[in-house]
Amino acid sequence: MESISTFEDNLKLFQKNLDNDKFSSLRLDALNKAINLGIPTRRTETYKYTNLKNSLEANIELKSFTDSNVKSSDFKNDKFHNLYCLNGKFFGDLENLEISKLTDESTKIIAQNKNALTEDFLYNVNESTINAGHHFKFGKNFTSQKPIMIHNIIDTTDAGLYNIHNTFKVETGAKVEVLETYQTTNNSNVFCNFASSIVVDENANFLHVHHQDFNHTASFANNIRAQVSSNSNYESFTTNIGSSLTRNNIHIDLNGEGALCTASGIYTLAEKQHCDINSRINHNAPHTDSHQLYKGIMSEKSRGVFTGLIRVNKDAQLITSQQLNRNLILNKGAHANSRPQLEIFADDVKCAHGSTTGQLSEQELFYFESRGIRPEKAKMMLARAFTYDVLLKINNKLIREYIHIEVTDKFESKAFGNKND
Amino acid sequence: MLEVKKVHAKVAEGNEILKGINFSVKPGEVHAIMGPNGSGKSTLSKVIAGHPDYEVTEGSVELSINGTMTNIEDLEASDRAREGIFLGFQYPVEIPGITNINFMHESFNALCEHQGADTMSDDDFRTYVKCKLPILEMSEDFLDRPVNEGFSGGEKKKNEILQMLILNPRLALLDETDSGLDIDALKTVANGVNKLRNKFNSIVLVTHYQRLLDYIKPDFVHVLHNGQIIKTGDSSLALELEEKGYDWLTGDNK
Repeated sequence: MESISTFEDNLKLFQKNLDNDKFSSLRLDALNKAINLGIPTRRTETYKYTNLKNSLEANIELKSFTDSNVKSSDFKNDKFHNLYCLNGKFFGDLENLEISKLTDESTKIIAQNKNALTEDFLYNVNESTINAGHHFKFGKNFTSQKPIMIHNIIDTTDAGLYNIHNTFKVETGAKVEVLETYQTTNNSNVFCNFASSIVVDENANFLHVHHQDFNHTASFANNIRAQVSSNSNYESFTTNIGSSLTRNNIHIDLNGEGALCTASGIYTLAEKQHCDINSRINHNAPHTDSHQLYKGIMSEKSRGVFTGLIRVNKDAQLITSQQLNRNLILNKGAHANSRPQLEIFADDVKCAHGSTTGQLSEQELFYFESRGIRPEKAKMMLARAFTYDVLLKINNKLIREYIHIEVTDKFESKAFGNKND
Repeated sequence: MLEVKKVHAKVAEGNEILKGINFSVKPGEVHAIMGPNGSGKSTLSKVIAGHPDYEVTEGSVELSINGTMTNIEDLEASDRAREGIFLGFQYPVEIPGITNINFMHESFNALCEHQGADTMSDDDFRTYVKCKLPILEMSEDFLDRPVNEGFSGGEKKKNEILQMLILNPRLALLDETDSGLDIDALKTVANGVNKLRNKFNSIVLVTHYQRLLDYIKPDFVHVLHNGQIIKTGDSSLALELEEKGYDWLTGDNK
């Protein structure tokens, strides 16, 4: 238990060394919350299958980033409008998009999200250190010709827990398409704990895709909190193919009539990778819709965990909500845990949820083999086919193609060693 | 082409299903394997194709490979397919997420590579497949649909024969290809099978009923009962069976 007290001391120390600013009281509240919650154990309901202990012990000190010499332009992808966040430092610009350090508007956005993830340990750790991070303001009727790609690049060999908190404001009528990628430049052990607080105003559309490809010793957490207003659509998609330990917290509030969201994702795991998706969608207004589809492919000794809660509040009549988690286990030794949950307090709603976990069927494999296709290749094709429908949830062709190639190629090389015979 | 010698086979840890099967197929011949339900017909075709659930406990299956009869005991199903064996499924498998043309192309290229032939580009392959579609009265949109997903029973069987024509196997084993077909589809499928017939290729039809044999005339008919071939004859044997029923040969009087 020494590690817990050390971690608490480190957290307090880190906070003490931050300058007094508009976030001071917020940080102090979150610090007390994190300490009260304590590092989650198996008895913590929302972390039942996910043990943070090893990752935190290996990264017990809280750190701030130092500058990096990596050339951000090396990561450029011409199909997108490129923005770079290199060790927390921002490069790149885009006409009609305002990017700044966290502003007073960020404080408002964080306040509007104040009921989201309040009981989550990692989120509170992030909020207790809030300081580094950026504010993205997509003004009224914002559009951009190309989708925006934000490269979050971590270039450090210094183990520790790093926190970044960004805020997003999407104003009325804006149509925003963002792909955020997360990558490490080397094989060092780090723990990066990201958070995004988001407000989507009326009649706006925000497609927000996260693609995480950390090295396989690092740990990664992403805390997404979004408030969605009337007749707006927030589309979240998360892919996780890297890191040894991954936690995604996704919390979406549908606050106005006609608000919609999709929350989908893929996790493809090998070795002893562990990925935990924890989603919660609150229907707070009538005529709101949510659709969720999360798919996991687990090989070797990996484990995928999904916990999804849909909550329909009392006044949220005539809503539609769907949630599905499907897992494909490629071999003995790989695991999936799935817990779809519903809390419904309104009486005129359409809700469906479910989960499946299975292996590739022998029948399907024999069908391929009888056509001359080797078992390894057949498994690869079937695993690829398994991701087909979830990729269609990405409502932008360029982003979808990017994710498709990343997910299939990288997964195939790690799970099958690219046996292309 | 194919020699089945005293083959005994069982499902792993199950009862013996094939109890000493002997028959041999020469290039250019069409054989029909007939028999009542549960006689071992489907098992026989799966054993020849190398289904991993079946174990050959005695005897051997030999295939002509590069002109030499070779025991294929150690060849996996995918190797056997590469050596020219094709199994048409009684219940073709649905595969969501993979298009029909993609599946066929993958298979075609695997066979080409193995046989030392050039593989085909996407465009060339599509052109090649499109030429075969009219034989089976299929439209091009079948190529871009997921393999067998949402196909009717007849469409699935036509799709099996389409795959067969594309892969041009030396030995086609067609397992109950006629089951579930209406008379028009039966004629179309039979016409497809007849296109494969030439002096180099062999066809083994596994069927319960004689009606398919009205359209594909076999050179030999074997009657399978209780895991053994109890009678072999020419195409007139099928007609006799149609008239008298299997009881005539099996001695069952139900």
